[in-house]
Amino acid sequence: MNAKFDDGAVGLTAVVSVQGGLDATNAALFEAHCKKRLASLAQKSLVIDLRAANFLSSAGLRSILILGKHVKAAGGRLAICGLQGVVRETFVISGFLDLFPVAETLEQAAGLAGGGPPPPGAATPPGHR
Amino acid sequence: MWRRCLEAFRPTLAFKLGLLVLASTGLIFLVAFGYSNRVARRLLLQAVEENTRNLARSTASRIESVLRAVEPLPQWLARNLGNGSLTVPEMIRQLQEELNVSPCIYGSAIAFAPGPDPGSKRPEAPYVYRGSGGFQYVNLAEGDYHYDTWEWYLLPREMGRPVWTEPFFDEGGGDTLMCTYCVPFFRQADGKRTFAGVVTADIQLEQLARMVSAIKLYQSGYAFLLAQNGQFISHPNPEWVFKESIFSLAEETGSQPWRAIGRAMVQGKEGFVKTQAPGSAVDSWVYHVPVAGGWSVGVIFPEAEILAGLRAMNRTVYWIGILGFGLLLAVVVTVSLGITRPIRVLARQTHEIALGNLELAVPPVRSRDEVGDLSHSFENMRLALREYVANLATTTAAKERIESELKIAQTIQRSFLPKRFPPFPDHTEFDIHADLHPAKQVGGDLYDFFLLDGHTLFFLVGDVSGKGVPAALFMAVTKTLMKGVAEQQLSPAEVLAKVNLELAIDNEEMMFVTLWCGALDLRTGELRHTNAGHLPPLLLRGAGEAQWVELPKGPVLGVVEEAVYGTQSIVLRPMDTLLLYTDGVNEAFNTRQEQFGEGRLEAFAQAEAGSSPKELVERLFGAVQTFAGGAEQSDDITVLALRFRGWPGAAAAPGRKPANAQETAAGNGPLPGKEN
Repeated sequence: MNAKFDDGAVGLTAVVSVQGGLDATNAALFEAHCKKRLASLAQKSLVIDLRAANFLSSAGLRSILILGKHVKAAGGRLAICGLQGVVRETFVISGFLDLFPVAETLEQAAGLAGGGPPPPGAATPPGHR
Repeated sequence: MWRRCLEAFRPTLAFKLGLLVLASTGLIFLVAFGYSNRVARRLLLQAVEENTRNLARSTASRIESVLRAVEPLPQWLARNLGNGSLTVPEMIRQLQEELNVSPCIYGSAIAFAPGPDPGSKRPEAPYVYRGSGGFQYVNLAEGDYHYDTWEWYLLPREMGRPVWTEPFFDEGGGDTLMCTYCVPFFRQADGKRTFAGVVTADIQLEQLARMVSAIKLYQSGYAFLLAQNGQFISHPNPEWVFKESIFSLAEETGSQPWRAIGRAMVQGKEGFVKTQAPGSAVDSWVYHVPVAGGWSVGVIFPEAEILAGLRAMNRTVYWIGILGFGLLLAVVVTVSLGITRPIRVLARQTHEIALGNLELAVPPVRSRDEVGDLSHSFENMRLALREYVANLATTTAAKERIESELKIAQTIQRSFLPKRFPPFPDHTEFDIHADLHPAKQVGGDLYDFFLLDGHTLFFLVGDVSGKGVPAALFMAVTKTLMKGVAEQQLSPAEVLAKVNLELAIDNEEMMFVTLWCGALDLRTGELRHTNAGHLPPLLLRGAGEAQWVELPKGPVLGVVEEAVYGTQSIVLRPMDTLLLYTDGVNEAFNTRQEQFGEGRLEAFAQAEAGSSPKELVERLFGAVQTFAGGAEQSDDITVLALRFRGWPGAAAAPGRKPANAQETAAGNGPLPGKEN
């Protein structure tokens, strides 16, 4: 699966945009890329921009899970931006929508990741009843 | 043929080196040899010319000195005779004295001119010569010897001065070959100077010839004496003396050079000429010098004889050259073999090494030149290569072991899954079939089914994230947990909640499973099912349409410890079929990077609604494989199909009313089933 990872930032929040698909062949690479990005910016929180992603396998999901755990351990938060088509479907089916805050725009996502109160309509945190 | 031989011939370094050295040395030797030969020959010829000139000149001067020694006495006598008259005995005494004084004079005569009247008595002509028994006296005026007809008398009379005659045989006089110096004497009478006679002195040519023939030059060189007319006065060949002249000889042999030499000699010139000896074809050199009186001395010798020394030297030099060449060849071969030995050994060894024998050590070279460096580098390369190959072998062995272990893991993993169909031959209420096609790498797909009691079938399909041994292990744990928990007779949602908790504790690696499971009441057809992030099943109603089964919400297993799952219920009618699968189906790619997708899956289900579970499973695999074309299968593919046939005693003994209500294991709000 061919994919391109682009670095960006909104304010102080690191952003990594995925173009193409995330699967078993590049999930580890994506994970390492994001960790490196966070380290280079000396930031805790991360926004994964999936607006240009067109495929997400279970390995891709797992890399997001690991990144979430990594960010959380550092005291930051992970937010997802822009779920489209099959990627959104994958998020829905696997229940990941409930695991990470998801926003439509980078600014909203950065807001969610920044530790502020989630805007109305954002995903319910896991375990909430 | 020879060309092929030539192509097969590969000159070695030593050969090339030797050839080059020998060729250049040979060239230098030849040039030096040729040059020295030329110079030596020129110097030799110069020396020979000088020697010969000296010899010829000294011979000429000796002849001249003999002749000059003869001249004064007759001159003196002639002067005396011109002044007064002597008696005959006085004259004889005078002549005897003359011979006594001058040993080179053979004989001497005084011949008076006869009277003017013809027939008058001739005056006395005393002649004294060296006879066999001492001086002999002859009166030339007596007998048949008409002296007044001889050249020795006529020439001085006519010329009026002293003259040397040509050689002649004095028959009746000295009776020998001679030349005569004749001096005229005159008387004064009436104030007039009249010719009165001639005084002569003879030299015996035999004496001169002996002098000339005594000259020996080299082995066969000799001298010869020519008279004024070219006649041989002296020559080693006695047949030629006074019988042949140089010109007659040249005429006989047709030799142009000899004619030229003869001309030059007669003209009194000196010269050094190369030609062929008369009467033979031997290359010879001639040196000729004039002798006073118009004679000429020639010295002739074969060229081969003067060059004999040079030839001998050349032969010696030639042999020295050959020997030196041989010695040089030996040295060059030895040295070049010595120099190239390490290279040859290296070439042989490296050839062996290149063939794969890395155990063969490159021979150590002690020299610290380029060959030494090369050997050293090559040895290092060999060692590095050997180590690398050894490492590679170890790595390959390890890899093979890992691969074989993976294979075993895959086999063990697959052996977890039920593979005997039909699994429950005595249960006619349902028909189930499933299969798993593993990807090249060990994956984490799983399926299972088992009867909880006589009338409940529990079945599940799941997919562990990732691949490899971790996924396989996680799959094994999941399957074991699922069976263990399900047998506690909990609702499917409760089962998932419990299993999720077990999996999520200390899940450092964030492995997770998507899993769908359901419990089918075989008496009523009620299916209570739940889902943890898995793909929705397809329900094939009888032989009619296929529809997606709506699913309760629930996250994947193993991530959120406190996750809750909902149970949903649908009722299967007899001959309804449920089709379950993993993402290996809808996410199968073809070579154009297109996905199989839900659309194709749904269309397949529509088309195959009437097929048996076994056919469904097999045909779906076939469809995916056809779609993928040559593209490699990247993920495990699992398909499970279940057909509900109905409870055999359903009509006679209606079972429990199907539960329409939804149970929720974790208190989520009720979700309506598709059917209800």
